[in-house]
Amino acid sequence: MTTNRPILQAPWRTQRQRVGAILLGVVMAIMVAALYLSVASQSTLIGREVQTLEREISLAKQENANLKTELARLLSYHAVETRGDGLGFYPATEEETHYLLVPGYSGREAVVLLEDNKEVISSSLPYEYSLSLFDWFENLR
Amino acid sequence: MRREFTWRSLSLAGIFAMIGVLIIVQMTRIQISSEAADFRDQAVRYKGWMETVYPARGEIYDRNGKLFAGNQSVYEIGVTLDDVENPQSLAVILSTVLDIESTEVLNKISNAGEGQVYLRIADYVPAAQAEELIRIKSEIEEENKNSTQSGDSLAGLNFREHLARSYPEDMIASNVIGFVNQSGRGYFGIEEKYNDLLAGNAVQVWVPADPNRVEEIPHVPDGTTLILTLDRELQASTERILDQSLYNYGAESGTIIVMDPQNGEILAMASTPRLNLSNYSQYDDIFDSASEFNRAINMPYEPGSVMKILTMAAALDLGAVTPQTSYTDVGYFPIGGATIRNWDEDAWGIQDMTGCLQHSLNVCLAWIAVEMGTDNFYGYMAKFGFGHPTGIDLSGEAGGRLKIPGDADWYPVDLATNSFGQGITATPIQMMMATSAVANSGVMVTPHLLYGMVRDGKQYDFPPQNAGNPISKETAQTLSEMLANSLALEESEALVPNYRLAGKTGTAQIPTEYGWYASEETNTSFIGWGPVDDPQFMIYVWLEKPTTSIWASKTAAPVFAEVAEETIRLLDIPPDYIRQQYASGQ
Repeated sequence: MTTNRPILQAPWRTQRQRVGAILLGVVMAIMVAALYLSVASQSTLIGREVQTLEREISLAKQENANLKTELARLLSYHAVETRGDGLGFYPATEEETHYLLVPGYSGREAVVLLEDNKEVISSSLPYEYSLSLFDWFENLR
Repeated sequence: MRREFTWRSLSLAGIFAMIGVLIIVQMTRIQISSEAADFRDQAVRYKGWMETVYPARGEIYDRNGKLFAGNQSVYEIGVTLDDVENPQSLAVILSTVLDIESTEVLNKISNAGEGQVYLRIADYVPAAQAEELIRIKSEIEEENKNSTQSGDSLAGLNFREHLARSYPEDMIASNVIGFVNQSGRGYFGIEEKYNDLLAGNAVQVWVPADPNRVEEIPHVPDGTTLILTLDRELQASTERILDQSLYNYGAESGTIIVMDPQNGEILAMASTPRLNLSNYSQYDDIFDSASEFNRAINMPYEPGSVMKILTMAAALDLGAVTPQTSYTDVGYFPIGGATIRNWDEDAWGIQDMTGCLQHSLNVCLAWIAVEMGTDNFYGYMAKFGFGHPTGIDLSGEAGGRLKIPGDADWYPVDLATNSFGQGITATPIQMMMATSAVANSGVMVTPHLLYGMVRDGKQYDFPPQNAGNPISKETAQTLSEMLANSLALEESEALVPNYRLAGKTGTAQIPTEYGWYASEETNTSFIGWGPVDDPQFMIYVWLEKPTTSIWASKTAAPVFAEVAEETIRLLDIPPDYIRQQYASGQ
């Protein structure tokens, strides 16, 4: 006659498994928390950096505007005239003016602030809109 | 032993449970307390704030890239009320540097509202003054660190830097540019006309206090930068000549416009008085009314004999007269129950049409208008644009007045008086536009100041616009020759050696409020252009009530010559003989 004897784990082994499971959970939780903290702190740092950079951009724009104004004041009409007078310059008279023919030079042209990106806008008032009825009949003939 | 531990464990668990319950009870109590709404508001406040990001206002340049209007840093100065340690010393130092009353500062601080955290003391403080205050503040802080006694203190003083409009040229072209007030709105001139373009679009953004929620502030494009047709050097020279002319001829005020008659670009536009744009608060001290800000476009007046150019243009174009048509001037011309007389009340005998212009004969021009007929005369005046604004891109342009048959206040004599510039009002810019048809081979151009604009990284240039063809090319060329000859024949003071110019004087009596004309006060004008064979500039001069002479030939004409010489020099226009040499290939 055979009898089935349940195999029981030793109580210390069961306890160790439970402690192990709890420790695993704790370690996992700590890892998740550490990861979260790390990501959160990095995100915070980047956030602060974004704020700082935006502030720097704003300050750079202000500085740029200040420098443009300062340069314009230094080159203003009266400032240049005063410096020119001080250096002994004066407007050329007709007798002192000599004209030369420069091939290809078509006279002074207006400033181009953006050399590579220049467009000429077509007239905002198309020709047809400025035609009178008589002009229109004239064109039909 | 084991039971003893169980008791301890249960006690600890009970205490923690109790603490937990107490926390929950307290949370619930706070949620339903009377201050709950305040706490919720506070939480929302600390979460972040809405901020309006204003784009930098677009700049304004002249045609050669010289800055007329830019931006520069200014400061808002305020105090954080809780941090203020010594309001008296704060008030005294602020009043010394900022030129405000110390009692005013003290009153502001002591009368601050309950719960108010921040108080603004002054805004738009120039950088120099703000930097002076920052220096004083740091010096006092340094002194207080090394001293045990409590002395002066600027604790609580705050500075906020922001951009404001700057005008590096101060007064030059001020009548054209206009100004921007502290709320960022443009007034007068270009600043008002193109305010929306220059100001750009402000954007409201949410700025979270929590750095985890920080998002990039959306890109707010700066306002559009404008390039004007003005030439700074010519503008400054024109203003200088105008100021000197007012002094020389004892005139009350004046206007000078320089325009390219081939495309309507305004090269200079001077008007008196002028405002220093860097100190625009003086506006009320300088101007009695808004129409004085820029007389060239805001102030219609009876232009006088400069109008004869247009009457003659209409008559030639219609075929009512030719340059050779002769007219016998008997010194008077009766019409509508009134009698028209010449400026000298004399009879000039037989004259051709050039002679009529050369001697500026009212009688002759009145006869020409009658020969044309009412409908034709007013039809041409309408084609020249009288009675309507020109559409120049400046704010507040006036339209002038052209009475026409059918109007309650039009009388037959008006046909005659209008022909020589009386009973009709126009602004200098209207006269320029109308006469540009004569200078520009019959094509009338729309005067304008905007050359181009820079927006979204691109420069857009605007082409000139024609305002119609009131007369034929042949008429325009014939009349230009007649006017050039008449200037040469009368040896006008408007002439410039080596340049053939065309033009006409205008001496106009000034109507009084009682309906008749003042006898001793005149408006003197001159309009002219050159070189006649290839017009590159057109100049209008208006001097109001000159006292050294009432005649345009002695006041406005020499001013025209002076401006023409300066224009020729600054635009590098060679004398006629040199141009002709080059043209013939020598």
